[in-house]
Amino acid sequence: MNLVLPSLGFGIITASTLLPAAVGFTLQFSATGVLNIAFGAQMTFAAFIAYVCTQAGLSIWLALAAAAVCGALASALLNRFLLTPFARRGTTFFGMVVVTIALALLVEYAVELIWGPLPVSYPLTAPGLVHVGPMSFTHSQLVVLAIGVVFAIGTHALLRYTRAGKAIRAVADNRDLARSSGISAQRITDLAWLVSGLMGGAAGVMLGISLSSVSYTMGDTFLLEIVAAAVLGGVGQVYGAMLGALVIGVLLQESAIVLGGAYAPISAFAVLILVLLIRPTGILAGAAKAKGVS
Amino acid sequence: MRLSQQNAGPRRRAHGKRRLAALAASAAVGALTLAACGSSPGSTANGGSGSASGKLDLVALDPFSGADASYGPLALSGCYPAVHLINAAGGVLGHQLECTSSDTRGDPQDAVPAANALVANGSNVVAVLGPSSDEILSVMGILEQAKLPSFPMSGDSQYDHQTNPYFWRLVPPDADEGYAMAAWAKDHGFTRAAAVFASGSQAQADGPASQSGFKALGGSIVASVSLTPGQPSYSTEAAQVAASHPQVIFYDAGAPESATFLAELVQQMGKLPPVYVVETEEEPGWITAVTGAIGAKALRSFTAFESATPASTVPGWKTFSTSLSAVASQVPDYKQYLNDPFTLSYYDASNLVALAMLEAHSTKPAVFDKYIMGLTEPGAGKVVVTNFAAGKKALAEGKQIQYVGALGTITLDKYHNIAAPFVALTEGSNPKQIGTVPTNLMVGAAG
Repeated sequence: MNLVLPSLGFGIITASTLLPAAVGFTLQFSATGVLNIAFGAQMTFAAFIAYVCTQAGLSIWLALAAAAVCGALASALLNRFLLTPFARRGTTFFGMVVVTIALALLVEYAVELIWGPLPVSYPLTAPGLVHVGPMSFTHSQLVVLAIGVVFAIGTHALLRYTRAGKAIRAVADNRDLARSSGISAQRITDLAWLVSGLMGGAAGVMLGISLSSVSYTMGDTFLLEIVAAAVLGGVGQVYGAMLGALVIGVLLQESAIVLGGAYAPISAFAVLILVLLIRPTGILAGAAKAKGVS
Repeated sequence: MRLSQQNAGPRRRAHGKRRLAALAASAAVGALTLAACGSSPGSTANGGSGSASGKLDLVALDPFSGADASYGPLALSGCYPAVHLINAAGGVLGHQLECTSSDTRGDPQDAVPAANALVANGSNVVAVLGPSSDEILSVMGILEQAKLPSFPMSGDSQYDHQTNPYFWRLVPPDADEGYAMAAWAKDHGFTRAAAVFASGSQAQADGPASQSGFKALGGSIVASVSLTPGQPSYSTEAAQVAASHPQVIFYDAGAPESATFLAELVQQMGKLPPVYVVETEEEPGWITAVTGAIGAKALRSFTAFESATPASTVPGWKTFSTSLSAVASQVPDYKQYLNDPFTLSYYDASNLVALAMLEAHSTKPAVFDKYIMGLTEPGAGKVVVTNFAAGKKALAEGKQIQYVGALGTITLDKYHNIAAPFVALTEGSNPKQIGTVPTNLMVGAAG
């Protein structure tokens, strides 16, 4: 049986989970300049919030919404009360990276302490399959796919058609110029962290659904793919991150056929290196700038 | 037989984060280490014979701190009850024995100075109870050069055909679990198997063994899939397995990737065929994770394989059990070790060393090492003994003996690896034994 097309479907599902995470990660980076290594841990935290919600009787989809909101609030608070004070004191880029690494460990330890080292699972309904040509999806996967698409369209609408989105782009492009144009950089920074947290929170729950389990290290493990998608698309390029998510997601699945599962991650990152050798700024860096949608 | 979660898995190389497990183990470790006086063996001369009336040391060269801190206490939990009985029976050639420890921290680099110190300062050292998988590669050569009989706590497959005369492995090689899977599948008439194993660690021993073994028995491997831990999805791998329509699946992977992969496999296959797993998939954490992902009902198609432990009616085990309870002050929470195969193997190892010294009339490791194999072998006119005291008495009467201890009959191959029988069990929190894996098929699988 030829598995290339079925795997394309699996790759799209992986990309759907990767998309909000990569977009949230790169959106926050482009607007604030902080490389947030704790992003994966934030995802994990949100995934466990959703677990608590499901244990309390909420449906998984309501739990996802609640976790996304919690993720957004946690992200905004994290910026306001931890990272901003460091930034005000002139902490360097690498200093901020170290702060986020420490934060990632703290969150991970806290999650392990609260919920234990063993994986837990969401109570999902029986996995009925929907066949689309040679591809097959469970109902949950289709919802995950739909959420990914909603995030892609929502992000596009936010950046393209709203004042807040345009302000985020302006701050990302030139913070000082944006400020002299009357844009409150602090407010936009807060907004970027909020949106990033929302996407990260949702992505954490989507990852938990995709993995059929939630563990305290899952976000950290997934961070590598998130960064790869963001870098592949062009660091700070939101649309690039979307494309990067799709490429990485599909590559991870397709290369498992060609090279076997053991080498799938390697092949995805090998392609990443190759692309960066040809286009050091990522796939969409130039195109996005030209269209004014970076 | 089940390993407790605390001390499960010395044969699997450490992987993943186990900080809490390490913390939980630390209390027992501390107590056992203190009981062993934390003593590194002193004095000089490698391969030494000990002083005329000094104590002879059985040294647990294992991790007593770090992530695998639970391994060291396993060795001591077997050593203490054996030494208790040996000393009660008058010791060996005028010497009392003692159990001591040397902490490798589970780190190959830290283990080297520990092993060197043991060799350089340990004139009283007669045998090493260890090393574990964590440090075996870095210290085994040192111990061999020192001509010290060593009883590794490792199923590492690269020692399956080793030739070091001082190497004695009383725990089954990891590959045996793979051969057990193959033999059981053959015995059940299956001819098409899929092999799914995690990349790295023990799965790299039982995985290839299950496949080569099944082929050797006339079966065919219709899909061979490797799972890399930490991936966001294993859908493609699951599709490969589903598309191959296997009659049985040979499987070994950690809890997180198993939850994901098996859930995706259930989605694609609907109903799982029989899935054969190994001892580590009986750990409570694995069962909890997988049950959450695929439901308890799906676990009914799983069969687990592990080395058989003797029934509580075996005389050697009874003696061990009584002695272990007698040294409860040295072995905290001793009941958890009663059926632990590692504890049993170190109890028997200690007895074999003591009896070998008696038979050789020497406490020099290089001399008595040659007698260990003979003590395990049956033979015409040999007296079967199930404890040290009986063995000492028989040897004093000029008889030849076969030691049948807590593990039952010990069968060693020419590479000094134990050939343990394997049993099949149901998978779940309360496993039940289904049957014994046919030995002839296991031998056939191993080629």
